[in-house]
Amino acid sequence: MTQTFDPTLTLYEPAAEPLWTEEESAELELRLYRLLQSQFCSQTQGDSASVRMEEAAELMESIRYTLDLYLRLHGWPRRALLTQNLPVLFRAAQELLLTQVEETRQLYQRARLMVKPFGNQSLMDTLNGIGRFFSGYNARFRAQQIPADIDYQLCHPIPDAIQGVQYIREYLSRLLIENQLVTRMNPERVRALLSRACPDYRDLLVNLYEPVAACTVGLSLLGGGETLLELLPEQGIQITHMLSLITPEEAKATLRAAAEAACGRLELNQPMASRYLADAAEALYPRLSSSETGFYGVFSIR
Amino acid sequence: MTDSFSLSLYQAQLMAAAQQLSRLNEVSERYGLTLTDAEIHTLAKAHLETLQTAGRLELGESLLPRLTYAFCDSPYINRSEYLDTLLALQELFYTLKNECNDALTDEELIEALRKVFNHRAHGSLSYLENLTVSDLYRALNGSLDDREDEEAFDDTDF
Repeated sequence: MTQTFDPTLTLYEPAAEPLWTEEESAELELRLYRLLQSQFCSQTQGDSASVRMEEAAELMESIRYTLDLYLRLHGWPRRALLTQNLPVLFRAAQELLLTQVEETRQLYQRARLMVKPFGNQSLMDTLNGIGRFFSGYNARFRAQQIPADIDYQLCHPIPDAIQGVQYIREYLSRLLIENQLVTRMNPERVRALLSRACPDYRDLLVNLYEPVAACTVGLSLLGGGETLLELLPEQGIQITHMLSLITPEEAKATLRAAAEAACGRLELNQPMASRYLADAAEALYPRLSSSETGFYGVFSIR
Repeated sequence: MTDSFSLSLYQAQLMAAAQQLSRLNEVSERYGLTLTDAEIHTLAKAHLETLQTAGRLELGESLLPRLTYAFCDSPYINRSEYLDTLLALQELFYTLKNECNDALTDEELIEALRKVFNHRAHGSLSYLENLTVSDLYRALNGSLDDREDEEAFDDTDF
């Protein structure tokens, strides 16, 4: 499973299983083909007996996506597709998908209430754009698609492998994690930091979390005071020097540890939030180590 | 899908189409039209090739029996060109199905083709090849023949 911050998915890993034989693969394809026929008949209600290849491929992808989600959430191996009654399993998978959509709608409502966009246009547009997902999503026949306008860039982009409603869940989960840290800070200090990091932060496609996360980690490396959200040039030099004395692996571990310590002090107790910040902290290392003045950009020091 | 699966799917579709077509001989022979086993095989095979060329996949009831059933009573088809006509019709069907972006159902498209073939085209396949999607809609609602009448009237209006 691709690394995920959606709490419902992190609990599950795909079940390990031995390699498939050619006969098993052929049998599965035949079963899936029958399911495709049945789905196609439901979709067209007998109006058409043939379909463009691209549409057939989309429909098959939707079937695979729906089944895959069900298997993963139940911790079942893929061989269950051979041993179970596939049409019955598919119906159960579709019901599960609809439940996921409903849960995601609640997650979205939470995000609408909680996320503070600090005037960032792309974040506001994205929050509106995600709302269109719920009217445009076709869970029955195009479950893998993401009919939503999403421009705002997260600190950690979502892997391409995540599709459909899971993409929206993952996006909202990450956005809420980011928002948790940003709103933990004094809004005036956040605005000041954002202005230092990017004076046009309201109009440009910039992530609000990154500069806040970087300053939080930087201050944590120096012993605390994360809510100040501001570092002096001397502190940047001190951090660069500190990291230059240890190996890259040790430096990355130090950055991760600083992120975890900051989460403890800021009472961001969810493991997801801590892991998210630790990943962001580790990603700072190449920029901090690339030059002696790299810290200016990283910590938005003027 | 794997090549071996595609191959077995192809064989299965070929056999299913051939079986359905041989049953249709019972109906079409009333109009003096029958297909030999070899012709049935040729038609079924050509149908799958046409689907591939048109970039389509048949997932529901096969087109060939429905097309055969709709055209076998046409006064413009005789035994000697029966196979060639069916081969041309199924090609036309998928071309027009794509051109109209599936806006017409199979039954509507077959009905439109049948109407034009039996009336305005007088059995001319070349005429059908030049049909536009608008012509098909007009054929379905009967206005294509009205237009023909108007044009005929205009021609004699001197």
